[in-house]
Amino acid sequence: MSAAKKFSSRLLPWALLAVVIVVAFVVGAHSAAKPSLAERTRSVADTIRCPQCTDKSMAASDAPTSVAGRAEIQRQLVAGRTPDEVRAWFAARYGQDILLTPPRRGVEGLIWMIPVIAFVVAAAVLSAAFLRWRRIGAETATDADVAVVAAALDELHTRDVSEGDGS
Amino acid sequence: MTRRSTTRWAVAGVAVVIVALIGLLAVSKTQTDSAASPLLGKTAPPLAGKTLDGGSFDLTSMRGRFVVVNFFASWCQPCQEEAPELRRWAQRHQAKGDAQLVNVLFQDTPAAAEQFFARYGGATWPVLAVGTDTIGLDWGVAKVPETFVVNPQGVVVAKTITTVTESSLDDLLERGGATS
Repeated sequence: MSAAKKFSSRLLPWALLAVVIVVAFVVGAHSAAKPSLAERTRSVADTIRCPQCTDKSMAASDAPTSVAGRAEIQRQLVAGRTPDEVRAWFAARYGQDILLTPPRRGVEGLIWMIPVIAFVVAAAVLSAAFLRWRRIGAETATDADVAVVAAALDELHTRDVSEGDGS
Repeated sequence: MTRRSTTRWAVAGVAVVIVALIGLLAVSKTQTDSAASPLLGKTAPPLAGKTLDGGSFDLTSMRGRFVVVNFFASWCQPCQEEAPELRRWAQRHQAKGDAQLVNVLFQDTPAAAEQFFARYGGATWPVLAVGTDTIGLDWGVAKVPETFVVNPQGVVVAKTITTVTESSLDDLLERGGATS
């Protein structure tokens, strides 16, 4: 098999996998129905803490403030505000603590970078390990290695013969 | 560079990054004071509507004097404790004409609010009691009582979530720039 054929046969499964992933993303993105106002409201309310509760989102709480908060979210979405603008509106009144998702800026924003950094470091370490293993596998025996092995085999053979004669 | 020293450098690097992240998060500004509000230093949110006595109130018409905005509910025990104090404070400053009290009902009914004030001798100041859920959100109110001080320029200058007294309200005003 020529080098080009070998290369293409190795690359083909990866190329097919990439095509499948891209097609799945495109189909998934286009076939998903546009979320309703109620779904968009709930999606935003999921990211805002209930001001009266300790560990519930506005979407999960029936506290009067959460009920009023959901109505306010819906009102603002109808008025054309984006989810980020709605969240900013609440943060401007209750503080950043009202948001259940960490901000993307400032020191707290570093938390978003940790998975990316971990992925890059892991990929680098794995790549280095694979390269090292491949290099070890590709190493060929030198003449000196061959001579050492041959001498050892000879010695073994001689010992077997002499032990066989002695029995 | 040997493999062992590379590993050592990598471990040291990861340790430095982890320590730096922990340090940054430890010294970053956290909101520990529950009376802190993003509204402090900013123009007060809208505060207008029908009052319990059938009149109307608009905060913008109060420019030129200090306004104490007190969110309350009839079912709230601390609100019941501070009601007589607020009444004394309001009457004293109404006579002087330098500051105004406004009560805003929070998660309660106008009928319950009327009974509440009847118990404490009635309210001679504006009490907003209808459609106040949106006002509560606008002011970032989570629980009652919460009390804000708005200065004569219409800027929120102080906030407290503790039960107020006649003298603590004066202190709050002084903190907000009022001269006694």
